[in-house]
Amino acid sequence: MPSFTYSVPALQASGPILQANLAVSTPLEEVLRDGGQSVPAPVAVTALVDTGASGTVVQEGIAARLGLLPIGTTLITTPSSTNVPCAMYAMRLIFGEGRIVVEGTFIEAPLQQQNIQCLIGRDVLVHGVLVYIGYINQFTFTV
Amino acid sequence: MATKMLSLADDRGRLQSAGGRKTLGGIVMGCAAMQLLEAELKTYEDHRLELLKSDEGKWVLVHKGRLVAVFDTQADAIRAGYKEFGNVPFLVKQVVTVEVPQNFVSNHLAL
Repeated sequence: MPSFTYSVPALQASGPILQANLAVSTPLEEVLRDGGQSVPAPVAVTALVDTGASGTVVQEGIAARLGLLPIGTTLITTPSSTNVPCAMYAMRLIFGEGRIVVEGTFIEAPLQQQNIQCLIGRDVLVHGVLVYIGYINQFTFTV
Repeated sequence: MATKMLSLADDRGRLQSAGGRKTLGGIVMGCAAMQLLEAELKTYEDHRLELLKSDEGKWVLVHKGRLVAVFDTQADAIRAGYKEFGNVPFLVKQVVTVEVPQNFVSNHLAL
């Protein structure tokens, strides 16, 4: 089982953050390769594991950097808004030094904190086990 | 189901017509990008009631004004969409009576 442990100084203040890459989905990569087209390079992001997010969100602009176009829509409800329609994109989330790869449809929306470009939501967490060990500033994700 | 390949130029044209919205490299970003799926959403809504009778819970692939096919899983529908149409906007949507919104309890989203 792929597993990765992160040590984050001041885990309580910053939250469970990690470095990840966002890439085009495997089906699109296959289509691009079969068509002799180049595959866009993955985009490196700082991501926050957010158990309060039902879905994974990527910062506005990341889909465009990957050359992606929307393949779905969803509604979003936040503390300050209700049923905001947003576009979704098929992507691959890669973290844990490449050991953990999750294919999914992720929401693109503006994120407030400039240092966070991705919220990892429960659509990713559903695939594994998240262990948060606060008193030693560590968390582990296993899929 | 017989389908025809549609030209990428048609879809790029749709992108260029999305003026007035935030773009990066000519591609519309964020929530505004869902307007690229207006035709697909209308087609889905036009057929939603009949789909609910026959395919509730399944995933439908829509491109422009056409329901392409129904699939058991979202992944299968996405794969078919890319194979059939390439990297262009298409809609993969679960056939449900009421769409449940994605819920975010923190204030990270600027919405």
